[in-house]
Amino acid sequence: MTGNRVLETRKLRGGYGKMIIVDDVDIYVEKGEIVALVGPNGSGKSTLLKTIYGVAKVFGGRISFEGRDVTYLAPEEKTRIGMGFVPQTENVFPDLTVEENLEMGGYLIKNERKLREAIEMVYSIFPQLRDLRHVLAGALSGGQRKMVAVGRALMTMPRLLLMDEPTAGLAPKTALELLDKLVDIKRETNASILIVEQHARRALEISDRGYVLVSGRIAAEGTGKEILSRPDLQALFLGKHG
Amino acid sequence: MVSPLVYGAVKSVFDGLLVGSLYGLMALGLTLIFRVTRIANFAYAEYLTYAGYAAAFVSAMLSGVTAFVAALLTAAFVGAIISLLSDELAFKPLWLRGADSLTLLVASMGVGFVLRYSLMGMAVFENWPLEIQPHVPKSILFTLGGIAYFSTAHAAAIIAAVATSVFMHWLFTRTRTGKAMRATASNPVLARISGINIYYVRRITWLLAGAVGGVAGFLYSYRNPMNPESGWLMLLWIFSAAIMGGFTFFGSLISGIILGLAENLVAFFLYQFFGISTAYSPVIALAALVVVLLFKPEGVIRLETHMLRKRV
Repeated sequence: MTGNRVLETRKLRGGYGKMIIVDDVDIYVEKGEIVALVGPNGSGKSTLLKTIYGVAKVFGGRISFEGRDVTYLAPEEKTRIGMGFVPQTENVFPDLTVEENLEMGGYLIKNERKLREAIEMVYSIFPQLRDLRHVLAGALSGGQRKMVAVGRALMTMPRLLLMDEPTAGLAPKTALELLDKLVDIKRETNASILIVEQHARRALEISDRGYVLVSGRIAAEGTGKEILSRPDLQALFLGKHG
Repeated sequence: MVSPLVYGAVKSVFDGLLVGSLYGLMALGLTLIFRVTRIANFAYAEYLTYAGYAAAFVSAMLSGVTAFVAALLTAAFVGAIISLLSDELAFKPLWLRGADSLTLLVASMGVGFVLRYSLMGMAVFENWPLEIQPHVPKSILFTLGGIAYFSTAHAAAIIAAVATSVFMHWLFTRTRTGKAMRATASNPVLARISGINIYYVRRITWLLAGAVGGVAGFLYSYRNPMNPESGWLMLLWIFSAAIMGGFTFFGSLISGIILGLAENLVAFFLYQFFGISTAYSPVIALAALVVVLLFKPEGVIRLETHMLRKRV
């Protein structure tokens, strides 16, 4: 396990109940990188993120964060040590207001002043949320809700941020805006990011490196450019969306 | 000269406020459990009964204000412990295995049976008195016309109910712990991802709800002698107040008082003017429930109103 790697998995197997969805997965994220995880529908991208975070079941293998073994650590523990996760669905507290969602994202921040500072940081990345601060998250539009979902995860300034299809369900313009925000996020929080995306081209364009997951296994890896330029992979999933 | 009828009505109002405050207080604990864990807990009434008994036994060894304070604290403590145990031993294991709300409701009836008949068995086996009351001082604070009186029991019940509902509302909306409770109820997986220990939140919920129930049990026995079935007999009222209150904290308080006043005041008038026996007062109270729900099916305070009011 190399020193510069914020995240590393070795022969990771994960899934739900008795079903193994991802198998023999070796990936890593270096400090300061944005790494994309792409692949066809149903290839297990979401499951891989959930397995890394402890939301899905780990059947075998190893996960390490900043060199430390976190394979069987509970989700709340992972957040405590500096990881963050934005799930694809059910990623806000619908019965809480926008600001309360952020407060909960900052649950582990004991100092009131630091909590307020973190909330201001999120509002500076997503200015729209400031006006919506007292609105219940369940009453927001899809795009607004995504901002809350990401904002909630940013509250603890995670050094590693896992994002599961943050642009899913968004209009193309909004999706692009959100992905552009990743640059702001990196600047504000110094996070290394592992992002799962259905829109592979877009994700690979903003990433330093990528992995292609097919049927629960890594089928290819390389820099964004390398993967985008491979004709055999183009056919696989880049197809219609281009 | 003021007719005794007026004093009779005032007495009904006082008694209605006392009983209604107790119903409201009990409903508060039930509401808390329901809001956070989605369990309609039919065993809740037994926490009241156990606490009442514990308070009676502890206060029997003391006297004066000390007895009152000791009884109150014992009741809160016993209520909290029995409540937590019922979750740790029954509800949580079932929930972890994927039990849905209906299953947990049915399980709660079972837990209620176990608690109630264990207590009854102990009472019979140990030859306890048929009914118990705490050995604490009670005094009349003022009377009107020699008919209506307002005692320390009245004051204690009303103060406890109002204070507890204010506290619960403040806890839920202004404190980090309360928001964590709401977050856990709203999305437990996301709560964990946010760093919240949802098992800790769950324990706090059961302890607090049990403590509130315990205090209610003590205050009930402060006024009326209590037996192992006392809690169970009030279960209908407790649920009615909670449902009528839309499972909100202030709603529980208001609804409890409406039920209490309906039971006492309306029953008084029906008896005075129509000769209807006060034994029908339960019917009157439940008629009040039906009437309220006909006009406001979501309860006197609508939980969703909070959402709609803030809709952009």
